[in-house]
Amino acid sequence: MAKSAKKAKPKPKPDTTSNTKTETMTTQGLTANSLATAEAPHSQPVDVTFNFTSGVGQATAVLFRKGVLINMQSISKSGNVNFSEVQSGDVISISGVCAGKANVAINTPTTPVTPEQFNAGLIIAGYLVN
Amino acid sequence: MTGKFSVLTAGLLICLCVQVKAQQKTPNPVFTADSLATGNYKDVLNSFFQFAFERMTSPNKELKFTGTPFAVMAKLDTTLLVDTLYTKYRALRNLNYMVSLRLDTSFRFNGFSSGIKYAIINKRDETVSRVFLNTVRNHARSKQLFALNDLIMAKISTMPNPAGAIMEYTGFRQGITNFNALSQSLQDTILAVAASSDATRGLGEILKRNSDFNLAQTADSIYQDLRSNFNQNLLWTVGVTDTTYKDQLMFSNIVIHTELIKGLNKFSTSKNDLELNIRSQLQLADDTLQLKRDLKRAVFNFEPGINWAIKTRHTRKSYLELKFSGGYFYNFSQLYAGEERNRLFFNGTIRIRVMNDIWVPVEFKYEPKNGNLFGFINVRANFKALAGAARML
Repeated sequence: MAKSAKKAKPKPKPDTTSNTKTETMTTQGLTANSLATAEAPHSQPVDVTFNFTSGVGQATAVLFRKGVLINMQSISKSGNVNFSEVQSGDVISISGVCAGKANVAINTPTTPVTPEQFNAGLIIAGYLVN
Repeated sequence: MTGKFSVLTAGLLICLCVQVKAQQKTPNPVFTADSLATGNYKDVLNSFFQFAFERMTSPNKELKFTGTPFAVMAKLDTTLLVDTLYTKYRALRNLNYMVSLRLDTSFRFNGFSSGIKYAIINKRDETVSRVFLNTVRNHARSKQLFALNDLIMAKISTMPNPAGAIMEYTGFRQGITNFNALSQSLQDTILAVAASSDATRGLGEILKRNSDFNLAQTADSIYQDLRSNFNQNLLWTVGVTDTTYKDQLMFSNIVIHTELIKGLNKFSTSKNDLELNIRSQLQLADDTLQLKRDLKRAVFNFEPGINWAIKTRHTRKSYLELKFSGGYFYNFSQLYAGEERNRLFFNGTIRIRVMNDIWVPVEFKYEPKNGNLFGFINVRANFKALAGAARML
């Protein structure tokens, strides 16, 4: 045992610079300014409201802008997810599960329109902010 | 008598017509916990309401209504269905009450029955189970669909004119459009984004091979498979039922009962369910050897059995259930003339689903020692009151 322990190599350190998410994103031609919203006058806070009835549910809302993941928030009971800076053309992706019914509402005009009702099962949806 | 059958037949035909019309309007059937549960499970613990006409061929017929206090409360106050309140009323949902009118051969009043039943262990209620939600969410096939949805949304956000693409994709995710009915450009986009990630590459291959892939049906199939397995968990109930005399508001019969059901083929690839069903009861009844009315006759009954639910291939609804059980009776009291202290029966129940929520169980009881064979026909209907209430929110 002692011999094998002496030969054991130290584990390689994890590469802290790698980003596992980047493989899925299209980032051509993007600059920091093209994604910035702080000074964008047309950006707005948006609430995504989840209402689970006749059973529990959980969901995750992801905000995409020009192929880049801007914000991601999860909820495990009825309530709101707030995205503080949303622009026209952004896309909100929703995924989750509900054991009863789920109602998803976004407080800004979207395509397709909300609220949308889901029956028991997987919640798979996406909305374009108009 | 002919009139009664005519009314019953007309009622069934109207219900069937309503069913057919409803099916035409909704191409993708919506499955609920109630519609998928086995008839045997709904007999043991009812989620909403059940109306039963029992022992139709027996001299002692019974018109029975079973419900839960929570169903009534939720009907009056639909905010109770919101998850934050819904989970707090778990105990009330595990309580069933029953009232019934007993009728004789001429359909005249022959006594009143009432009872309560409580589920001490109910591991089948997926509507309040976080474990079940996590199981579904973390299932490999669910994760693939979620990842694909995120990738498509990310891609659509880069398109110069995303509105058309997202509307077309919405039809796909809602199950209105199959994959092969999408425009070629969107098909190519979906296949390209699926191939761009390890998380969705397998799903992309499925889309290539199966051009009529329907996303909503696939998602529903994943959920129903997992829910079907979850509904094989343990359920154990205890309860008490009493019956009054027809001419006096006094108990003629009290039954203390317990029942246990548990699926035996959990995670099996078989679409049919096999479940263990054990019942036991102590019945206190009037000793007719005594002049005055009392409850001194005590009979113990133990009935272990197996229920086999045969389900449809795609919708996973049981349409036929066969139950085989043994019955042992022990009489603690003074025996009547010719009566035996121990009795053994073999029971069989054929439960046929005639409509979505209406079951017709036909029960047989055979006593091997005497060669006696008894049979009963019941009709049971489950009402999805909560589902209707939820739609009103």
